[in-house]
Amino acid sequence: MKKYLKLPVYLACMALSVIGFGCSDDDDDPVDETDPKTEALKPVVENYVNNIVIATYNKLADATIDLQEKIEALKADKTNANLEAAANAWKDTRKHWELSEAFLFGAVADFGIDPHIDTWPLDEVQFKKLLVNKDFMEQLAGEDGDVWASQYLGISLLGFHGIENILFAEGATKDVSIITDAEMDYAVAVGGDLRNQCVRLEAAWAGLDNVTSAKQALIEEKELEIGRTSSEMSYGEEMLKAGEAGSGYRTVTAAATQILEYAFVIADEVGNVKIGTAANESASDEDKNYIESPYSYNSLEDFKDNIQSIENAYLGTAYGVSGASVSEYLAGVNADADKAVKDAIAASYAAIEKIPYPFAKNYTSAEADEAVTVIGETLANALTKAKSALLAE
Amino acid sequence: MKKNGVYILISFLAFLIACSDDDKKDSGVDPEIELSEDYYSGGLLGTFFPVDPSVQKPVWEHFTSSSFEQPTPAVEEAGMDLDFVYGEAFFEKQFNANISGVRHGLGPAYVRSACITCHPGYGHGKRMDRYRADDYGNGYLLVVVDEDDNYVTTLTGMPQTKAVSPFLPPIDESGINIEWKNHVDEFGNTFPDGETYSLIYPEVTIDRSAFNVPMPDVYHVKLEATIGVYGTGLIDAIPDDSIIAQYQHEKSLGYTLNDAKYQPENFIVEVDGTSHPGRYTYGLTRGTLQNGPGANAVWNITNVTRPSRTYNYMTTAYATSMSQNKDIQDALDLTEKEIYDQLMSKELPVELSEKEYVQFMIWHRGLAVPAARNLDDPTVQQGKELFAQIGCTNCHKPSWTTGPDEYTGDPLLKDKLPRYPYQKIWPYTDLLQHRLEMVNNIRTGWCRTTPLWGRGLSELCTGAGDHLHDMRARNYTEAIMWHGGDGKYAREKYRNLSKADRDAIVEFLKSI
Repeated sequence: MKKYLKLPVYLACMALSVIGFGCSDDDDDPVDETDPKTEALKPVVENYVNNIVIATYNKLADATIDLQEKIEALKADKTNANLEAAANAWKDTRKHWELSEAFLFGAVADFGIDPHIDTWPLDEVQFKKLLVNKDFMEQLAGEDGDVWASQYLGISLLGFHGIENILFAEGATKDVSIITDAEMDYAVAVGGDLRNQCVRLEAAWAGLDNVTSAKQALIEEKELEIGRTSSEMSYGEEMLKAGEAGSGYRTVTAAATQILEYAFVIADEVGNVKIGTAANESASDEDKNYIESPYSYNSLEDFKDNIQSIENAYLGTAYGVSGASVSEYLAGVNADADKAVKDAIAASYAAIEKIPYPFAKNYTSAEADEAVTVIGETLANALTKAKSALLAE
Repeated sequence: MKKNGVYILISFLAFLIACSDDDKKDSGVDPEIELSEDYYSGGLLGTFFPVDPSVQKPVWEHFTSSSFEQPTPAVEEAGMDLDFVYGEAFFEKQFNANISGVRHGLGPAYVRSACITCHPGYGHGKRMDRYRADDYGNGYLLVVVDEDDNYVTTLTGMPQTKAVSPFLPPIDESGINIEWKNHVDEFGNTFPDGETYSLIYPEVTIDRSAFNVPMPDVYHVKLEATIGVYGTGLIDAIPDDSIIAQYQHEKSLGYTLNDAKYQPENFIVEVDGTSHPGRYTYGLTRGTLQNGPGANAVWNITNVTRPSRTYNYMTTAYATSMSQNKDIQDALDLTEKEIYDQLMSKELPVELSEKEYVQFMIWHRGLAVPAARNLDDPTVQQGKELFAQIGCTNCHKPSWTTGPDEYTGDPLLKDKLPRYPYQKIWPYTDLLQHRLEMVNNIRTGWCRTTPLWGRGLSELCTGAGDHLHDMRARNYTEAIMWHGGDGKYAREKYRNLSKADRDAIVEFLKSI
């Protein structure tokens, strides 16, 4: 079992606190919104909202629309080619979702979309019962089967892993002939719900006016809630307007802090939970079965994409578009803190690369243990220190 | 989760090593900056600081939306960090109806499939227009009572609206109706200076046809919302004697209190033989955290068994109704008696292991309270003074001091959880019940004063900031204006304050 914070970390933090900002100048007043720090961080937040968060959700929503078309095509004509197309679309969609996990806040958290589309393990007991429940299957096969699924299926039967279970087994696409009609009705309904939730996510961040008319129509038709009670603004607008009246972010620095906090949250999750619960002394022996994406053997890809998500958020680059980043800002105020994060990201990729494929069969490997340390401690701690450096005045 | 509690130790060391008196003069910075004690909402051992408090005073911009989810410094000092992470998963993630594997054992009937559904962002539930168990943030529990205000005995106290097929839920949630009604108070919803506010309250009905158990001729339905789970370990560390002393103190001030709760013969007796006055839940029905709302909920909300609870949270009326249902008999291929005996068995297989349960409780007792923010802001200072001046602190008692924290309640958990001895904490509650006399009131009319700590971060952490037992208040002003009964005096004073003074009180409340 790994101790979360070891003595050297205390010492390092101490050193940081002493050297970095232990005896700085002013520590009483909140940041003046016209100060150089605010000016420097404003473009960082803008780039993050537009080119990282909204761009990723846009790709994710598009991918879910494509996935749903592929699932419907497979239902219409059960061929191996159609199955391959659907399976590839699932992996592509999965990638964009994992690339979004360094920002699991805002709509994805407030609306509970994360558990809604990414709960695992799948409830296999209820799944088997569902397939033979005539009334339920009729609802799923109906015109608004996706909406019905969302409301009545139960969270452990929704989302990525439900669809994964239909398309994949033991790391490969299934033989198409063993996929039943009932399973396809289920996949179409759950795929539709996955699409609805991801379109909702994009619109909740970008604002309804800033998504395609096809997506607007879907939101209206499926009556998808994209607003919330605590603010009139979209999630993106609220972050862009940090420091202005009506935004939950009282300063631009507060919004920038959120970037590093949620990069930390997913590093902690990937290292200590996704890999760690299986690799380390776990909550129980049963947790040894606790592997994400077990049917497609996509786990290592998931982990890698999560690190990529952290990198995107930190470096301000995604899908080939670059802009102002928290990394650049930190490099100017605390180069060591910036370098530590960059090094830890590189080490994290390398650590995942070393885990033998598939993770589902190698979660107790020494390489998996090493990845827990690199991601769950080194990267997580580097991000924590980066956050402290960002908040130092 | 996050780990900044370590700052306290660091600050101390930094203070010793880093800056001499000369530094102070030169840089103009005192390494031991004067943080007033009320910044430490959960004391030294129980407060989450997003920045090093020896260097920076916490202000709004330091707090992110994960501020309710942090471990206390005590967790880190005890080396329980990883157990905290593992325990957290039992709160955050879904239980399922699988018969083995991680988080299995949901049902047969259940209230929610995950704890976090009711405590979004670890905070209060959200105000809802409908009751659906799977709606994220729906923290409502249905309170179904008969014409004498007693719980309907054919339903569990926290009635389930979900079931694993082929079982039916005791209540089919599609038959639950929530209607929000406007309320005009005796002041016409207007302050003396002309500012107006609006008040709404819920009326809930459940169609008779929605029940899958026998129901009395007359029944009424109310809502009770969850509150945040952070800091509950610190509340547990307050000595019973201090609570009884507070009861006697308020009694001497002339408050009408729920005296029966403070007679030793009515105390709550725990499995370890200790007995305690109630301190948790609106109804003061729980005396220790170790047998508190969370310790119970992880069993009775999900109906997931554990070594000390190898039976279902279920009424005999429900078991009878299900066992007599022909469809269920056919689906399970079992007789009425076999189904009944299975549902009511006291020796069901264990679903959540002892180790998992301990980890869950380490997480639960280990949740920190976020530090207070911006307390040196002149408006906040003004609000703080007014809050005391107009009498709010009579019930929203600002601080308590914990005892040795030799916590009790469950021998299984002895010596395994983080502890908070001798901490000055700032929950802003007297932990007693008062009567607020609002329209469509809480069951019995008695409501424990809800802690106010951390509530200002609610919008940030949960996306909503509703208040009161059924979330009828959409902001602090509405919450204050709903205070009747024991809160009437302070409300009257609040009404007559200037707009600037009222705003200052709200700003103070957000800051704590």
